[in-house]
Amino acid sequence: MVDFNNEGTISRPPKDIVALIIIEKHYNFLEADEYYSNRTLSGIAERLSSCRSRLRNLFLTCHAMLKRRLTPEQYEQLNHVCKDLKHDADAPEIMKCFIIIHDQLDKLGLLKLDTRPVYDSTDIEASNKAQGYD
Amino acid sequence: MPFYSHGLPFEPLLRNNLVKLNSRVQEEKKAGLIIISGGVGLGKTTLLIHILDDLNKMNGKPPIEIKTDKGESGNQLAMGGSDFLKKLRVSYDEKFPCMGYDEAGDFSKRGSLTSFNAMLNRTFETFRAFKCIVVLALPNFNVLDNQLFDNQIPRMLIQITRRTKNSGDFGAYGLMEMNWLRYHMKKSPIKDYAWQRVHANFRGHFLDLEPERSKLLDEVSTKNKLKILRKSEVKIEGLLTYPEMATKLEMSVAWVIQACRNLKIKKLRTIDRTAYFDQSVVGQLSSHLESIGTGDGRPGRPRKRK
Repeated sequence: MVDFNNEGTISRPPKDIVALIIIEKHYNFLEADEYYSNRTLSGIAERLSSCRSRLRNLFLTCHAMLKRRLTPEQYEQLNHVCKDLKHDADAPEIMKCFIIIHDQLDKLGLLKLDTRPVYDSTDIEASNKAQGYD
Repeated sequence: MPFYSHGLPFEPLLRNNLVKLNSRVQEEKKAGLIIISGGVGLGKTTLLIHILDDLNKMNGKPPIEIKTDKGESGNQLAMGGSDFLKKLRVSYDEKFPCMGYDEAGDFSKRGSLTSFNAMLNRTFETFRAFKCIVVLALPNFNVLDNQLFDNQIPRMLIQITRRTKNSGDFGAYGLMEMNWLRYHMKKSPIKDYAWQRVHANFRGHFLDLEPERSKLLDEVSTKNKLKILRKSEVKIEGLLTYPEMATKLEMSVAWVIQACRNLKIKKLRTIDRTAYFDQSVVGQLSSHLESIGTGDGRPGRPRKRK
């Protein structure tokens, strides 16, 4: 997604580029997981190498942020699964790690979709308040 | 009795919103203004009275008095700008939880808009503490001042869309929707298109008043409209009041009154305790002014009648 050979890219703020890279890594993991699930559900034995490496990639991209925001236990779990290549992680463990990262990205607003305030439009006073007219 | 099966003369959703607005004004001590708009004869005053009655009921007060013994509108129902200001003061003294203003043709005068808006702005800056919800009924809410909307004073707009023999339909809008309506009304060459572009927060129906109250309302409303009509008539005929003659002659009102008495000039008509004179009186007074001059170019005093 991010083309470093494109002149337009260097004119963008680094924050925007990093956000796009993270979204790209997130999408890559989902793609690998889709392939793995499809094969497994079809009864074909499939290795987790692709999912794991993509999760590792995602983890390394936002490593510093995760270290700051996660609890020590959560960080240690991620560190163990993503950094230690000799550790034999299973599918549920990988999914758990992915969800931890996903939740953090949602909290940051990077993957958040439900940004509109939720209110009952027939309650005019609640609607006024939700729209900033207190 | 004109009530729906749920016991209200209008949509229960409107009741829920009135309860919320009442608690905003009574408990949070914030300003609350409800605007009822709609074309002529769609039932603005009817819905206004339903709302005032309901707000009174919520606060343990009886239904509003539509017509007093003197034949005027009750203390919670003002007809016209000056009446509104007078009754706001009464409303504070009597601790009324709500107050209605029915434009009753008042907005047909362009000058009244500016003065009314100025008065309304000033009122709402001070009136918040009096814990009173004001309900305005006027044909087009877009005539109200920007500052009112900037100060977030109108909280709900009720647009009456249709009227049948015994009931009416309305749509209710929040402040954001009102701002969008105003935007579309400003942009579009046909103002009514704005109503098609903005969705109402909810829609509902309301019933007519009881026949006796409806009759009283007709009497009060017609009386007020007749008063405005009579005032318009004298303006068209070119009749003048004491202050107007005083302005033309560059003299004080007291001088004009005294001079008219001295010259035994008779008024042509009296409307609302205001005397109206023919235009020719200005000429008479002008020659009188010259005749009693002091000789040094300054006008003299009219002699007091013995």
